[in-house]
Amino acid sequence: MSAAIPVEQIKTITMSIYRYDPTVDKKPYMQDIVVEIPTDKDIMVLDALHLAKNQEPSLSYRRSCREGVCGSDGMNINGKNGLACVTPLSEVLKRDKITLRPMPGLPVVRDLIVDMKQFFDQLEKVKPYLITKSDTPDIERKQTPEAREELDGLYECILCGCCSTSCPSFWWNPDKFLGPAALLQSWRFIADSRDEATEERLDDLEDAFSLYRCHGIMNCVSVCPKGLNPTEAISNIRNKLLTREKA
Amino acid sequence: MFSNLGHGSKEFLIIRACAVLMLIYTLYLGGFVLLADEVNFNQWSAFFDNTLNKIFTSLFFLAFAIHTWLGTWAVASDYLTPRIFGNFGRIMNVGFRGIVAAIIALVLTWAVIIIW
Ligand code: SF4
Ligand code: SF4
Ligand code: FES
Repeated sequence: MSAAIPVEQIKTITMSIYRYDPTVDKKPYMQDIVVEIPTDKDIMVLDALHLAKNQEPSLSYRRSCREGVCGSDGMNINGKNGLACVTPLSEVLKRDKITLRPMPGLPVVRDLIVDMKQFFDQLEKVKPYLITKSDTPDIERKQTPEAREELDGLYECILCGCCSTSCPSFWWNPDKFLGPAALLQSWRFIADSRDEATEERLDDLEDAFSLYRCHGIMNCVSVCPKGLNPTEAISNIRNKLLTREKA
Repeated sequence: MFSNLGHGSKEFLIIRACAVLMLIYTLYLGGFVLLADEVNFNQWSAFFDNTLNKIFTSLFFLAFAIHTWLGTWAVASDYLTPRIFGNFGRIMNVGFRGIVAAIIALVLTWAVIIIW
């Protein structure tokens, strides 16, 4: 904290942070880092992390946009996944303490950084892009405003991984169960009036794991920093699977 | 039946259909017990002498068997896996499934002997 801030506007908090550098540490440990934060304004958890890193330069985490757009700073804040950059410190400080861990279920690369490969592998499986078979129109594929509205609450996903890494079904079977984020994207393209591969998309979800491992626990909904509802998307897909008429 | 459905969808429906059947039977049996002024041995055995009741009771046990078999498969493929327990996970999984199969077989045999 710069010396310009009057002392009465500063307080100290303890950040208990998960540390693990596989090249030197035998196993992960929690490190308490005491930082001084301003009391005259609220700062975000990410800001507090920067303060901690000033003291402990080896502390590692991902971040880029610092405004809830890029999806890179998903982490486990006091036991609940969220984006550090849009989580006000005042909301999560408990007795001037906060605990930060990496998102659960994925391999830790270092400190708060996890290896997202499994997450993106699952996303890839749902083919998150428009698939068309009809001739390419001269100018563009049109969509009515109503059909476009169907995509609200789906296209906003920033792929932060907060949902899938809070889903027990994804923890147990991250290679077989697609997880809420990928399933939300699956529905985003099934629901798109311009997409022409609905049947194939549904066929790909017909096994016992890809979609059916969702038990409606709704952890995904409660953590999504963009306020999206993967559980609803999953039940929309399930309804389609159960009611479609297919040879 | 349900030829338009895939493997996952069929299983999803079967598990739920069995649960519904078990629920209906439970309500039916509960209704009988509640509505009877007094449930003594004679009424009880008269109830189970009725062929329709015998069939319904058998269906209940069949639904129980299917529901339990599929349900415990799902639970075991979450928790008893090599991912969690290493090589031992496979053995635990097969062992658990064996025990479940034995229990179901026992219950079914027992049910058939008692009901029919
Ligand atoms: S659905 Fe929400 S929590 Fe899940 S990846 Fe997208 S933005 Fe993140
Ligand atoms: S609702 Fe489904 S996808 Fe969401 S956390 Fe629960 S099991 Fe996972
Ligand atoms: S830093 Fe981009 S979402 Fe938080």
